[in-house]
Amino acid sequence: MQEIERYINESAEELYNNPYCGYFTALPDGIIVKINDTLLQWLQRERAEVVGIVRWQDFLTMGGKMYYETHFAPMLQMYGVVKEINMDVVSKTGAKIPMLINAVQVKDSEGNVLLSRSVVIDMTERKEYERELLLAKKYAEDLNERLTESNRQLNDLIQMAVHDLKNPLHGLRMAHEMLQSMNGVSAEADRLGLLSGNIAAIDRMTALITNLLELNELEQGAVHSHPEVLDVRHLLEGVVQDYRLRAEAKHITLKTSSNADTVIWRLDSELFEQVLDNLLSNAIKYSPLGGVVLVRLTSDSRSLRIEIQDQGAGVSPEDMKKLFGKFARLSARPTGGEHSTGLGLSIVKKMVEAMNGKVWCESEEGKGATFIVELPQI
Amino acid sequence: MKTNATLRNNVSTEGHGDKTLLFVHGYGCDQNMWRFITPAFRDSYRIVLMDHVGSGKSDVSAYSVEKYSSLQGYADDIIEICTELSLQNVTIVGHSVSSMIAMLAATQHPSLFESVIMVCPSPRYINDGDYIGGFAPCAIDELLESLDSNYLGWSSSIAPVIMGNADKPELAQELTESFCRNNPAIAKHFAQVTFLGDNRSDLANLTAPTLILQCSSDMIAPLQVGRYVHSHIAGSTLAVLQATGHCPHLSAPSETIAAMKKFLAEH
Repeated sequence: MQEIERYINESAEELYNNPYCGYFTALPDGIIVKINDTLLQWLQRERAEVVGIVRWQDFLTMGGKMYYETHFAPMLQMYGVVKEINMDVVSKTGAKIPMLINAVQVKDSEGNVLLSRSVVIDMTERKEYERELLLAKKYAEDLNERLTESNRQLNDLIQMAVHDLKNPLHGLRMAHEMLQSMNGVSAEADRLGLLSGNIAAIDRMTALITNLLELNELEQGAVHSHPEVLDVRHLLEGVVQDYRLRAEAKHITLKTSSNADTVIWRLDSELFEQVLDNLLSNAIKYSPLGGVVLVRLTSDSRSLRIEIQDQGAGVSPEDMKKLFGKFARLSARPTGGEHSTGLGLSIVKKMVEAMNGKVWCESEEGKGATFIVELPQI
Repeated sequence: MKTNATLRNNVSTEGHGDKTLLFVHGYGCDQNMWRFITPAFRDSYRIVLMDHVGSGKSDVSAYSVEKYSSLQGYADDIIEICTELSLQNVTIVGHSVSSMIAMLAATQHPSLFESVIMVCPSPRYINDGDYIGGFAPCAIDELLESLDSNYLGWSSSIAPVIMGNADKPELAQELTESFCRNNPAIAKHFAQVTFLGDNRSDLANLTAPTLILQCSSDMIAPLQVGRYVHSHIAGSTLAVLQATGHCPHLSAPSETIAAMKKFLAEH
């Protein structure tokens, strides 16, 4: 009972020195002229080495000092008071303690600043919480940015897909109207011409829809590589064989080469075939009549490399940047009136990535293009 | 009527005179920081005050990371303000980083500016070989961290109460609004541009009469930096004040005013 009363009746001096917060008084230039025991303990300093000697800002980190001079001090000088500013205070042993500081100026009767009184609170845990809040905020901002971007891409994709579906549909409708009214359809040849045009339009739309579905699956991460051990050389020759007819129609020579008769590798044959399909059909599509398309297969212990080289117009530096994008709308045109969905290369890229590989293009404008696929040993 | 640049930079004018004093605040504050200085010049000068975009009551929507990635973006704003207000015979007073902004403006449009007053200038804050700017690169990271950790304070709408200003109620009224509260994201970018910048090679191009106000103990712009600026601007005047810290216009307004008046009378 006696003891509690002693504390209730303690002197202002005792109360000043021993609460769980720091007090200090400083001259306008920051020199500390009075400081309580708690703050000295936090700073790990003796009173004699601080009072009248050290400025408050000397206890701050370098960045804190800059913040103090550019923001805190001007605020205090303008307002006469500064509240809830966080600064890291460095103790004698170098420990950084996050502190929350409130400061108020004391002026004489003429308004001249005499000194400032500050209260300092250890905010280590609150700072952790604030840091988490900031991280959460940053995460939300990043996420929002990514979602906005993906939404924008999705909108673009839909717009382009709709546009590309609308054109052949429009052609189909016109052809059907002509067939229905027999207007301008005088001979059987006209009728057959219109019908084969319709089939081509339907094929284009089907190809686009197939590509869109494929791309969607790839982007959803629904496509997984199921590797098996096989002879890549054999697989490659098979795919090339399928394109010989199409190449011959444009008098294009398809040549293959390999650094080994058999190349045993572990990969997903379905994905691999589709990648080759896309790249080969592109090479033929963009090759000049009578040109040569070279397919080179090389492998070493670490990686497998397929290069498909054509003699087309090549890829301009401008196009190179968007080459693997969706509906990239490049300047090169198919040389035999073939159609392109604008999605093939973006599908190739996703498929190669699903196989942990890389795909890129090397080209000098006017000198053809080489598409290179590199797959790692898995 | 307020036009584009004057709206964007929250330009305000006061006083009257043939000559103009254009005050440009430094990093971390806004035009309010000149309020202890401007009354002394009201009777003989037209006084123009402004906030950099992102500071004070400027139009934050005018902020562009690209434009303000160098001090040139800020200097361009000043030229636009001068053009819009048809200012002539301007003495531009820049604090801290705005000393360099003022230098850029005055170098590129010498006909607009009669003289330049630099308050605590530094052409480069980070040490570089023999050059002592006062800071190691890591200090800048720490500063950015300080900005982040005071994010809640900066962006909040807490309006601090003014103490002991019963004799200046208008001051209390204005100050409770937004003094030194900047958009946190912009404050961070501005800090990077300010403290990572290097304008040492531009100093020699300044031909206008220039006053360098140097505090006697300023950790942001130490004395040797002031001397460096002085020695690289031909014909400049260096005035070392007794005032300490980085804001003599706040901590020692009388001394600052006296040094400015002396220079203005001589040039």
